[in-house]
Amino acid sequence: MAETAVTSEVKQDPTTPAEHELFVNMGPQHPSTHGVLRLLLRVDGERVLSLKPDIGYLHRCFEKIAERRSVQMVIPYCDRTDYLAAITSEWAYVMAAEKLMGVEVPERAEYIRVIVGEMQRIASHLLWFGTFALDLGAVTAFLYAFRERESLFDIFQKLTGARMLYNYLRVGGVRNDLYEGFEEDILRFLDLLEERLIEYNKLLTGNRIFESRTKGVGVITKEQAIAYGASGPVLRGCGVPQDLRKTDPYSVYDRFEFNIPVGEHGDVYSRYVVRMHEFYESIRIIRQAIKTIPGGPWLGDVPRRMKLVGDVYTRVESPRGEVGVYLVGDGSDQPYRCHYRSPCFVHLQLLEPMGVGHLIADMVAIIGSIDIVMGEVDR
Amino acid sequence: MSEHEATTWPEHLQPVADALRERFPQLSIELKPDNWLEVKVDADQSPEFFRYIKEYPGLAFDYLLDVTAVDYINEGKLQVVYHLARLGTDAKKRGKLVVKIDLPRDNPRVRSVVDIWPTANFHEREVYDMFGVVFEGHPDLRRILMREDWVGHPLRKDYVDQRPKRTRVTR
Repeated sequence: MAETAVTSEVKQDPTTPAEHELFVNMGPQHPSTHGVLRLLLRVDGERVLSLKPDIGYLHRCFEKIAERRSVQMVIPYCDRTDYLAAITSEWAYVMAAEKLMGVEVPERAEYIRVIVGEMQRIASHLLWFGTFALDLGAVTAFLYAFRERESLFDIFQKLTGARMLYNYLRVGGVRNDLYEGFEEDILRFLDLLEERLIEYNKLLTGNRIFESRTKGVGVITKEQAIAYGASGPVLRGCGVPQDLRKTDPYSVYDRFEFNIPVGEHGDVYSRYVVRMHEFYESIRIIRQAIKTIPGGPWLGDVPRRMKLVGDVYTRVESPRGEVGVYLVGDGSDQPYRCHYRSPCFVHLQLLEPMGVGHLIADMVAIIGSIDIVMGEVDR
Repeated sequence: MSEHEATTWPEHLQPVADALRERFPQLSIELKPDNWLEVKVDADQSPEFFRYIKEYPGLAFDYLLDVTAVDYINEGKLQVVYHLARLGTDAKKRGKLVVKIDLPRDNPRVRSVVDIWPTANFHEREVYDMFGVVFEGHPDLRRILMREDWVGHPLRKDYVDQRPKRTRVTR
């Protein structure tokens, strides 16, 4: 096996005089790279000539560990991959395990999963909104977004026991039922959020400084996005109406009415607009789900001895894009192979086409617009 | 490796299976749950196969979801698994494809698909890093998650940590 030597160098551009070029490390410790991401930049002044992402700083051997844990024990590890959207990370894995075991999920559990999944989407987008604005210099938005997140965390804590990493989904359903008073809490929160979203839009959308920092920055074409395997808001920002909840529906998403927001120009601003609209769509879904949720059990019939047989790839629409889990079973109660397809891992490849030719300050906006979580990139 | 002639195939997958069989008559094609078509391909046939499924207008699998591998050590093989889909909102385009390629464990080499689907770049680097599969034609095949000087391929079933044991420091 050829072990290639350290080839982290980015090659020199023959058209720029060598004395004008500078190799700069952005990260792994950097306030704006959203985690331990290292970008090797070759810059001419402030202008980026080429860029190479270097990852692996948060690699915690999730896939190797999953091979030595029983089916249920892997779920907390899934939480910690995309730790800002823990529910969707668990969901992909739990769906895969259910398919391999032939377990049916009762309707009430599916509705609960949808409600909690959309709450998670709102929480994740709130954090994205806050940190994105913070990176660009709008500090106020950060504090407002985190105030809303606190209200959501209170609801999550009452429901699951944890504020962020829930370990709530189980093979066959969810861990416990909705608590008494959940409906009032969530509806009150949604009303509050709708008011606050008007404030957030007043802060950023339409703000001339914000627009000049984000419009026309980090543009990718539709063809590039598809060729690079983009998904989620990155793909929808280029005008491709692809949302797994509509195009490859799972759980009970086909029972709800909601739209897929699609951007126009494939730049940072379009991706921002897509995510802002997704707040409203998530609110719609939660309201419909709360109104129509059936009674019944919240955990289906799961055999005591769990046996995983065969292999399956399940896809889930997380706030960042398409999360996939490829689960292979060998007849025992431990996964033989559990591979986690992370959307941000794929989006990192897009940083180079998006960033070349822009200023370093634009790189900050571009990284924010992809909404990177290093936990899922490195696993 | 049987072909399920008697199974009723969903309407949008039948043309896919037909197009594949017409070009590669010996191919093993299976219908899996959730509209997945599973195809087993040989390593030397793979460049031709991938180019065909991307470029033939009736197939046009333009979206590579994932490239990963599984170490079937008891069967002496490393299996590289590709998941592909087609984008589009009409039901006719919703076929999904799983391609499996079996490779020998002692010298696993397969042609890279980066020139067909650029997204494969990081995926193939990860499979190289974790399993040691060499993707011929990859522009930058080096470790991605582990440190550059790491020895060994961690996700192999017979992987042993080769770092020297550190002496325990006691108070």
